[in-house]
Amino acid sequence: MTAMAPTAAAREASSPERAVIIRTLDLKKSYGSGEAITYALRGVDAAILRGEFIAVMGPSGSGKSTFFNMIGALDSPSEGRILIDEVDVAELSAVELAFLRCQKIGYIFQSYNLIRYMTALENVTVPMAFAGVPPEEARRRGMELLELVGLADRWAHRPIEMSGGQQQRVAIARSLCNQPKILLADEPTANLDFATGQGILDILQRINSQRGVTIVCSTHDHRLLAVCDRIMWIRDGRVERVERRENIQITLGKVGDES
Amino acid sequence: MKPMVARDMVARDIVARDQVSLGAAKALRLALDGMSYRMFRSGVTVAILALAVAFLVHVLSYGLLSHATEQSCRRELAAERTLGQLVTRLTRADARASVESALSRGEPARREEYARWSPEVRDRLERAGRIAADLGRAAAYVEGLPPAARAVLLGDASALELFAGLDDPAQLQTFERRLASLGVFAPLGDAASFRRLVMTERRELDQVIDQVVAGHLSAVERLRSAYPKTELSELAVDPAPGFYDTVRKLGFVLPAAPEELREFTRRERDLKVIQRLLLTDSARAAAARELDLGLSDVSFGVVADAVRDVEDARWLAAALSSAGSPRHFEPERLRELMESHRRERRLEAVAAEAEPAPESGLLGASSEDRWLIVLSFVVCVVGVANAMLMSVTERFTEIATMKCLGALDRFIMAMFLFEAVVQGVVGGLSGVILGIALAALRGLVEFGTLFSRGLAAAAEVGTGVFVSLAVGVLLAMLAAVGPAFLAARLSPMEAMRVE
Repeated sequence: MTAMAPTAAAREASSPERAVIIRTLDLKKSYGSGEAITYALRGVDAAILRGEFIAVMGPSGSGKSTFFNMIGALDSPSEGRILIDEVDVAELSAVELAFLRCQKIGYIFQSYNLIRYMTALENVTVPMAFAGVPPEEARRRGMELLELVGLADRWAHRPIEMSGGQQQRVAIARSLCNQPKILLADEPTANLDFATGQGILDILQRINSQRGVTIVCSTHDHRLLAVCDRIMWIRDGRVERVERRENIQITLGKVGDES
Repeated sequence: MKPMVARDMVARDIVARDQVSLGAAKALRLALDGMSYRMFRSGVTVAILALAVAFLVHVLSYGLLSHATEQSCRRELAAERTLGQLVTRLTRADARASVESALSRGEPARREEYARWSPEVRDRLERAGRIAADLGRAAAYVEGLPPAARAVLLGDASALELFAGLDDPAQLQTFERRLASLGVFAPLGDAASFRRLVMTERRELDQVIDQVVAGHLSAVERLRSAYPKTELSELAVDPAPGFYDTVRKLGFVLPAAPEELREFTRRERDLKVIQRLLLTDSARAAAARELDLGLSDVSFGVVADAVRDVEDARWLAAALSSAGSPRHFEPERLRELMESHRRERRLEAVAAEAEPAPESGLLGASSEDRWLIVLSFVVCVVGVANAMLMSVTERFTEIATMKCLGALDRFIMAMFLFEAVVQGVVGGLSGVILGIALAALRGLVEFGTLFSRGLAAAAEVGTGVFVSLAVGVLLAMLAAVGPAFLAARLSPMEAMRVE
């Protein structure tokens, strides 16, 4: 797969900035009402660009998870809009949302979320089954993806027979199987040891650079800062800062103290 | 799948489109995979269903089988009684009450005989039968009234006796006044029909009965004059050549082939002889010694229970001959006689339990059983719903993940409903097997080998089994609807939650 579709490339050429794939407009989310109302998001305006690798950082309770669920079309805002490739998510029907989640967005979870009673290959083919890909074709693509993440020889293993890193690699293969445009990774390395986490980050970076998939990654892992294009800090339900990686190289130590 | 619909004219990577709907087979496969992974939980659910269905099947099939057994025993006993009555009926005219009840039951054999003996009433027999049946119904109604009302109306008499006197207008008036004062309806519902019944129709019936009895009497006379030298009861046992042909020519309907009649009457006679001999002191003493009983405990029944093979029969044969038996009994013959007696007693015991036919087909279980069935269903639904709910809640992450991966609500719903259906079918089948086995076991304990007669109801039991199976699946689905709905409505956001 080429990094950019021709139309996207044309559009990029016509505009000085890269095209926006996810845009949020004054995004607010509140729980409860009246006196007891609490805000998870207090008006987030953010733009995630096509093909970039963006890290979302923030302490727990910052609204980071809520923001993350919203841009993944898993949750709906109390106010404001989410545009995924200029389409307002609120306008999509349940069936169209399922299509979006299945074909256009890949999800990677902190605790992998593989289905326990399925083998690695079966897990990878689940989204293809939901997309109506014929089983033969699904198995072929599944094996290719397992090869990509270096687990082709373990295709018949169940999650319980694999290490955390291996499970996460299966999960990455699964997230890629319908060639999504966006990959949402929720703390993908949080449950892994140092070396294994590095392996996962390498795979994510490779996917981003070779396949041109937009990756949004929420994390506490500072190694991620070395591989991502931009970093977004969220605090108290607002975007605190967005920086390109080049601009924060010198302040890395300070960032570490903050988050 | 809907055609691709772009939101606007600009071509782009992400186009909103409808998600593919997956076939039932895929949902079934996933449900099976999920269940085999949670074998124990599914097993418990299946067991709950199996127990409820087994209970239902047991109640249904045992009721049907035991009813069929009892009815069959009853019919056989009735046939034996008819055989037993033959000798009496060859020597004496039927009692009026017996004629009346035969007419009201519409017994074809009796009616045929009556028509042959008294051809002049042939056309009135049917009407007489209806009148007799009406009288029987009216009597049953009066006797079924509360005790206080019954005492006022009847005193010590039976209802039929009372009705016999009601052709006297004064007595009828008294009876009707009492009915009114008690505030009960007239028998048969309306006063006019009842009045007609006891005033005129009763008389009609009596005339027919008179004619029938007279006809029977003349047939008996003719039979006696045909064989002036021998007792008719002796002839029934050792018939002179052509005896039964003569009997038949005289209008009697033989209830069985002459061979069988002879055998039966012989048996009855022999049993009577043995019964009498066992009252003698010497036979009693021999039996008490042999059976290790007190002298006062010896009875025909005890002896009949004890003599089960030819060995046992030897001492009995000896005891009988020393008691002065008029004829010699071979031990083998004695064993046969005792066995036939035991068999008859068992038939009587079973037939005595026979209840009226199940009220309404399949669910003709007693009201007590019906309550238990309903209760067992409620427990079953609650149990299965609880198991399904646990199956859903412990799979929240899995379900939410599937929704993130593109599963539609209806697919998730179908998955859990299939799980319920599979469990319903498996639980239902094992319940059916268990229930039938229990019913058969209980029947064997209760009726012994006579229970094989229950197989007459096999077709009805089959329907019952089918219904029970359907009930099992329905219960499982009913219990699964709530949890399946919960699963289908689960937000995909749950997948992000970390335990």
